[in-house]
Amino acid sequence: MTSEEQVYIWTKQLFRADDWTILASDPPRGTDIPRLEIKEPGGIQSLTKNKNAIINDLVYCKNGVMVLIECKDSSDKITMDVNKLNMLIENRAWRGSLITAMSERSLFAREGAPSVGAVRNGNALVPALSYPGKPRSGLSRFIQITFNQGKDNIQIGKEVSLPAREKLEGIIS
Amino acid sequence: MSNYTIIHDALPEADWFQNLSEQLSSADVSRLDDDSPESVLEIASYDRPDIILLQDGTPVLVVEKTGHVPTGKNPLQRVARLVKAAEIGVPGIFFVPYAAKKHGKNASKTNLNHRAIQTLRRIEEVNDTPMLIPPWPTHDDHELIHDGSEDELISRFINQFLQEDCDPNVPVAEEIRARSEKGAKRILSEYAPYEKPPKSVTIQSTNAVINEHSGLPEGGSFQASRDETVVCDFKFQTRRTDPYIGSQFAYDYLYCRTGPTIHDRNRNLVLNMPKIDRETWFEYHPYEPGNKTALWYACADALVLADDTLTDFEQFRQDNQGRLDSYR
Repeated sequence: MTSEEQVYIWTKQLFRADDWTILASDPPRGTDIPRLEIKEPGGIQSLTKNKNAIINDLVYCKNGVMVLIECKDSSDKITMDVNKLNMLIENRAWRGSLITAMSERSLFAREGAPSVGAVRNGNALVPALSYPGKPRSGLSRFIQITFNQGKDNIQIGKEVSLPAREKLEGIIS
Repeated sequence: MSNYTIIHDALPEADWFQNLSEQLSSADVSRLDDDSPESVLEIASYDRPDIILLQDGTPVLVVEKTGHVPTGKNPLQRVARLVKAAEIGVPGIFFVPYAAKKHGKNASKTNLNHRAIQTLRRIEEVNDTPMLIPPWPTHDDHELIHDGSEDELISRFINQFLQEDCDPNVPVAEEIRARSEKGAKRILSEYAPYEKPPKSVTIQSTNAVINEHSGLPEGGSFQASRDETVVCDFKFQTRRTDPYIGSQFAYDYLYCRTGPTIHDRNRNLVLNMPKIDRETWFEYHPYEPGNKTALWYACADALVLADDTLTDFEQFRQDNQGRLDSYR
């Protein structure tokens, strides 16, 4: 069985090979670059660490497009991540929290980062799921990065914007 | 051509390390586990370092990496992951920010605990084994740099190290030492108390400590003949081990050690845990080989509990190096 850790590494290697800028990470094990904790808008600060916050496994940007990635070791486990990413991207208040978190870490100054406005209106944001197996249907807004014995397959959903689609061509090729 | 193996505690760290040098591109990558070579298990017997590099099956370098804000005892705990390597002559690297931005409501710059640098210098000196502390560079606002350029210095070191048949005494090692020295001076200039022990650690006359705690010096490695004793006050009352269990090694090297074994001390090392009684202690922190709690019995001369004093740990130690019985 392919571990989530391995999916995480393969996904990193894909984006690294196409010169995307990594903005944040939260690996299943070990140390990588600092994570981006997006706090629940208006939420009461929980005493339980990370509760009510969204922390994506990997966040990359290139030419103003930002890809928010969740990695899993099985397609059976992605439902919660689909809901989480949909909430982050659809909800203006959550996008506001994302702006706050990025500003605190000076991420808008990074090479290829989107503008504040493009995060606020959601145009820059692309949700992505990475897991072993085959792409699932019904995820037209998502990029699905799937792995079969280490070989990757990238499916870009129909609703992913044209500019984002163009930026992602390098990874597909 | 040498064969390299990267033994890792987590795959992201192995991926990072392998990308530091083209010479490692064909290295085998393997997780640290029960099946690792005996020499690797020896290095990991105190705690698991992030990376152990093998050349033809022999450990040649140990690396610990952290991007966490390096406050308090946290970096001391990580330093402890390099102790065993140094004690058996394997060089180490601790890649850590010397200052980093703490986020949240009270966001601010936070310096690396200077005692982590001091500890590694002492470990290097006592064991005559290089311990390098290349700084993880930051932007002007103290955010960690993570665009790949942060690895430039450590990458040059790894390349030179491998080119010179795993000799750590390469020119870039001196460059790392110079940067480390500069960073250490800056930290001290901003917070001079780092030169002294923290408030939780006191150096007392051994007679005073004996008078205060019944049960000392009955048995074990505690020696009444040592003029002074270092007392670490650890006021936890739970199953918690980190960061205390690792920081004892730091305080040992900082304030007690004179040689490569735990018997080479000019001061006793006592851990004072007044909020835990004997019964709770053995429930929460039993000696179990392979379990982290076994480390309580590997370093200090005595453990002082609320209602008892534990001193005789030799039965738990395999040899003078403090090696534990097994690894799990």
